[in-house]
Amino acid sequence: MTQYIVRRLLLMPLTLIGVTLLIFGMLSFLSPAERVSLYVRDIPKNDIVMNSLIERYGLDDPFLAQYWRWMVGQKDAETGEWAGGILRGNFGYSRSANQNIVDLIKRRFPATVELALYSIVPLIGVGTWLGIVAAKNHDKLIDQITRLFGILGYSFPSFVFGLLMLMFFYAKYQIFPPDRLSNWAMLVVSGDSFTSYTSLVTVDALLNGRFDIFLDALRHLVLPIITLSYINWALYLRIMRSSMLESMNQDYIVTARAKGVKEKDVLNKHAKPNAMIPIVTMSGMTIAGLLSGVTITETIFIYPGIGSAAAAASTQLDVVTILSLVLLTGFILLVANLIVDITYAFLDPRVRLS
Amino acid sequence: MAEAQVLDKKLEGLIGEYTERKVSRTEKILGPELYRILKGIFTTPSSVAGFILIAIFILVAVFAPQIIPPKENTLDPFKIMRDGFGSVPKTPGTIWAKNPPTVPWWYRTFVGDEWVHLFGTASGGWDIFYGVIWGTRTAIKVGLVIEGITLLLGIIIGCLAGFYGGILDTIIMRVVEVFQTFPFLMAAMTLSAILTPIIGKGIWPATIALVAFGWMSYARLIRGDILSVRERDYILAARVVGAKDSRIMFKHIIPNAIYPTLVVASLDIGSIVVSFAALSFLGIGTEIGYADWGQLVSFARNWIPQLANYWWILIYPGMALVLFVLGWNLVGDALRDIMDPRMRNR
Repeated sequence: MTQYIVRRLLLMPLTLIGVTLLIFGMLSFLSPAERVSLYVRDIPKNDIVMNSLIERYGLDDPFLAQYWRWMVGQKDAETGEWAGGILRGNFGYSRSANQNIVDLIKRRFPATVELALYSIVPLIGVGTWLGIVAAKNHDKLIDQITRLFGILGYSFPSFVFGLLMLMFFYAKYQIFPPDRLSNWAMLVVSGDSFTSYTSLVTVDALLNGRFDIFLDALRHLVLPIITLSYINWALYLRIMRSSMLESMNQDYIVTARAKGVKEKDVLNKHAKPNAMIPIVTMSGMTIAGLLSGVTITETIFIYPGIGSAAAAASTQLDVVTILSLVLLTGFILLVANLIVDITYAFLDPRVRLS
Repeated sequence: MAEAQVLDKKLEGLIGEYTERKVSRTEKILGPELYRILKGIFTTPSSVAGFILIAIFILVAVFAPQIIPPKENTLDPFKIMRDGFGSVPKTPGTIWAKNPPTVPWWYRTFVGDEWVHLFGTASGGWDIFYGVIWGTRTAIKVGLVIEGITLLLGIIIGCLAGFYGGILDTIIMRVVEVFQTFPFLMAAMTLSAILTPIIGKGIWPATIALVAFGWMSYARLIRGDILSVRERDYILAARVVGAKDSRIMFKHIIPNAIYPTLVVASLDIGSIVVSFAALSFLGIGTEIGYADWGQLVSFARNWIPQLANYWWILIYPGMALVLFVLGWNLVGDALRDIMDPRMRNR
């Protein structure tokens, strides 16, 4: 077990290097002049200035030399200041968001985290529950209806379903608006009397004793949560259903039934725990996916997370920003993957032994 | 005594089932595995419904010029026809005032002699019916092109890894891992944002981006199947008689390992079309006015507060997308049940 974890941990830096190489490789599709104009605010009009900039930042150097400089930065000979270097946290300036990328992430990431936290139970819990319902009623009408309901949701592109939700609940009935907060609440939150402890609006609102703001924030979260849940339920439904059916066919279930265990207990105490193992793996990846920004859903609901920031950056061809964001999300997914694999090994002895 | 006889009968039946199962001619041609898969998807009701949906879309795509003919002498029939440039969307049923298309026979028979906007227009006079019909062509074209290239790339890489094994396999699998680290849509967005200034707007930036981050699952799938086929006795036999690597690969291994990958890939067309639509919904990829469903839906984005009044901008293209994907998913869902070893014989 320890050996397995150590090996995974040793492989991680290797994958990380691969990830950064790939990102930098994408960047080098652009010519040196194009890359200058990505980073410099006043794009030089004449060739001499352009060439001196290319020379100064070594944009014509061999690939690996540039990669190294991109990773650790370059010391300015005159001022002694470090320019660039993502390892130093210098990601650059985001043109689409008009601020430093680190600040952008600091401001946007909590919103994404908040949405992810609230989505976990409706998405994973309800999806799994649907799977259990379908498995219990295997091949009966309920089974078919649940599955069809799931497949239909899975067939909805998130932008179509999200806009449908907005059409009903915002345009027609004005119950659940888009964005993160209403204007009046936004004013309070950004005002002096409101302390930001965690940057998660709902938590901060409760800590500040502002129940009205808490409710307002929840109201804005409802539609994105419904959208994310409905389009993903089918995944959990399908996995839980087949895993449940499999475990209900095992010998120990027959034994349990034979010795007269109540049907309810057979399902809940014997079949379910083992059937849940694949759900654990899936939910790890789902949570990581939610944390790395749900691009389309955030964009539709004008929700200020990192997903919508990435979408805005890529439509405005702001390559610097989107590369940084994709690096961040890649990192999140990598760590999540590691955690999932280790948990899986703990849960399932068969994995551990091999 | 009677009981023993019954048991005997049962046993006989069982043995008979295994020894005398009738093997039809199609099964002989297709091989037992592929036959089982195909028989499964053509007998499950939901997947048959899926096939019907897909077939309808294919027919619409093929007959798009007959359903709504493009402007005469146009260079690009995929450019959505528009009725003036008015900023207010027109309701379905409004008369097509400026430059209507020629009236085809089916329209004359079922609707009338004058074109109306069957599905309304978006702001800017874009006719939604035209967009949905020609968008079907875009969807199928894009789905086939992207899926084809992705599959080819995946198969080549997977075959290299699976066949040669060793250090090459390790390296390739690491690379696969690196590519899979990124969230698919965001990675594709990034690459198309980089490619758009280089190769210009159109379907190509998104196509390349989706291929670049889509091949990995096929590579893994076929690699796994090759690894298992490679160990079979007939491969050893081929080696013993001195067959060359290339012959073993193309004549013996690939034909025996490729079907699961092909089947899975063909059903991914639905999700590929959605990814493409998602990119163009965000405004990455095709230029404004190109007939693709994602872009039509994005027209609805400008009217979110009044969507209840202008519902047709969202509903018609949205319905096309959902039904298209539903078709593929219904087939895919049945297929996964058939291919899932845990669900066998149940």
